[in-house]
Amino acid sequence: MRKKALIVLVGALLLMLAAPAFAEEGGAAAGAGLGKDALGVLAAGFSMAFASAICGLAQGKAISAACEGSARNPGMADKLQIMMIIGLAFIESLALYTMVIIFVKM
Amino acid sequence: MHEMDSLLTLLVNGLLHRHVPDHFVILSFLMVLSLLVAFLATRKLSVDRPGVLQQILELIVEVVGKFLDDIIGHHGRRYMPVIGTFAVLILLSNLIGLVPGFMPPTGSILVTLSLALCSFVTYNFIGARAAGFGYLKHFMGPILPMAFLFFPIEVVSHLARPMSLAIRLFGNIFGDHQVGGVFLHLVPFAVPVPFILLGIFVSFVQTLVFILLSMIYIAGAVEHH
Repeated sequence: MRKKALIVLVGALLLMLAAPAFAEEGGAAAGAGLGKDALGVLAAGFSMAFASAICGLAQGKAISAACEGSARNPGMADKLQIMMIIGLAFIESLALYTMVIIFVKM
Repeated sequence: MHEMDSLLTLLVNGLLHRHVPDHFVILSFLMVLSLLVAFLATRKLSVDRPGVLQQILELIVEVVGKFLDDIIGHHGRRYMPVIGTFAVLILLSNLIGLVPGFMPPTGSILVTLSLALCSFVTYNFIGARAAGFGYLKHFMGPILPMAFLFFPIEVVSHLARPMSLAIRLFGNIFGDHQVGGVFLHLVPFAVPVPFILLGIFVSFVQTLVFILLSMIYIAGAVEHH
């Protein structure tokens, strides 16, 4: 019983993997190699991924510092919140520059 | 990624047989709407029993005024008209993007760049009015003999301010609208709801960031060295 289920599962997985493989073959045959557009799409995806990943790390550091600060001194919480939001806006604009460049270049 | 027009713009363009830009139509609509609300709210003001509209408007004035007091200082409320206009205009423009059939005007780089240039001109004008020719000292750095080094850097950093204000607002609202649109296309039921909530949050935060930065620039322009 379990063996049968396993076979069905593996079969389904193989079928799922097969469909993209066929699609890729067709695409390669039609496009005959990576064109300039494909490279551009690849670069856009990777640059946005890098930008948002490192931007997320930086924002996490800023937020954790602000949380620590307001936990130690709750009287400062209001001021810290304003400063944190401004800092987050500056960090976030770096990722947005990447997005704007992608939209300009695409 | 072609740009789409709002339904209202399609209607106006169809009626006028012209091609009026989308953001112009929506901004005019918002202007009429906010003027109408302001007119209705101020028709019968009351201290004892304020109406709903009056309370909402008083809340906006109180929040903006508190920020002005915190950041600029005791005479900060002088700048209430310009900052309050920014706040109301940007908040309404951001939020109307969440209504189906409307594109947010702040999702267009032209609108955000004009808003940022308004902020730039305003804070420089306020600084020049407060200090006269002494305002140039803001660009000279701490030591006068080093001024020839500081001046280009300061000028570039001041010119970068409106650019970063514009791109931040544009990128956030445009990106948020795109994400919401993509998820609405993928699953047109229940799944886009968190993204709409995120959109409301982003609208408020970006309004806050724009007016906070404008206030900080004004505070930097009027402070004495």
